[in-house]
Amino acid sequence: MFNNDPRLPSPKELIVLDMLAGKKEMYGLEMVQASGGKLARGTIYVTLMRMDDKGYVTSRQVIEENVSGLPKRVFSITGLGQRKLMGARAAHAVFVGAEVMG
Amino acid sequence: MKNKLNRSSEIWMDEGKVFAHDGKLFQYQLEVLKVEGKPGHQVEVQSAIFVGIQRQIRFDLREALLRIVDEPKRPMLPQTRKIVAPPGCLLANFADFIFSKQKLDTVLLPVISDMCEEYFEALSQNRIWKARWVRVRGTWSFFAAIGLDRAFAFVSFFIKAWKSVS
Repeated sequence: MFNNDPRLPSPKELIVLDMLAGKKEMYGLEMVQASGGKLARGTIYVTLMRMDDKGYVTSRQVIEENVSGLPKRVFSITGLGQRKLMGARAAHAVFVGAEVMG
Repeated sequence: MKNKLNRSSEIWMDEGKVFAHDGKLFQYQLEVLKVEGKPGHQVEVQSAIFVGIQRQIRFDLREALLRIVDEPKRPMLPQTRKIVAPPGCLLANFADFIFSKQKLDTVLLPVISDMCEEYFEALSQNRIWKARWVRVRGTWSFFAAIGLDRAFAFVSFFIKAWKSVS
């Protein structure tokens, strides 16, 4: 159903997709710290949940042994998310007139 | 009163005051009037009066008395330890009561988990004020996440209603 959605990801979603494309799995705090202030702690998980609903990312809960506390939820990019990211990069490249690389 | 104290007596100290236990039933506040001996050597309480019943943190008698001699003017307040709930415990209970499990697992508990991680990292570096700040910021993030989630839910509900009408 969401595969036919022609809309590009929002700027925040693009930042998240860009980070996830370079790494296998990340959790929210990692993304916030890696974004250098572009993502906020209060909004990251709402954004990620919406991206999960759209099918851009997938998540799973990680329960670490010998570590007390709440379980972490790690996110990874899906095929649709990668296509959306490539589409957004291509659109951006066309917009600025740069050459699209791989 | 003096015969109630011996070398096996237990000594308590708090805020510069010394407390003792007679080994049986009673605990006394002990006002040390005179201590003889050199630092590093065995010392004795030469004169003392008991002024009340208290319950305080336990110290070894000899160590306590040596500290009296070593540091006569410094307050002999031991590091008090207490067990407290981790940050976000109350928030998690609140969220568990109000929101669905799916919302809890995907949005709210991860926010609290991140706050705890940062909080304990700051504490492990002995940065108390940073830990306190993390706690405040984490609480703010928690309510910001709730607010944003409710706002998106309202907008999506409005759009669906609009589409169904038109």
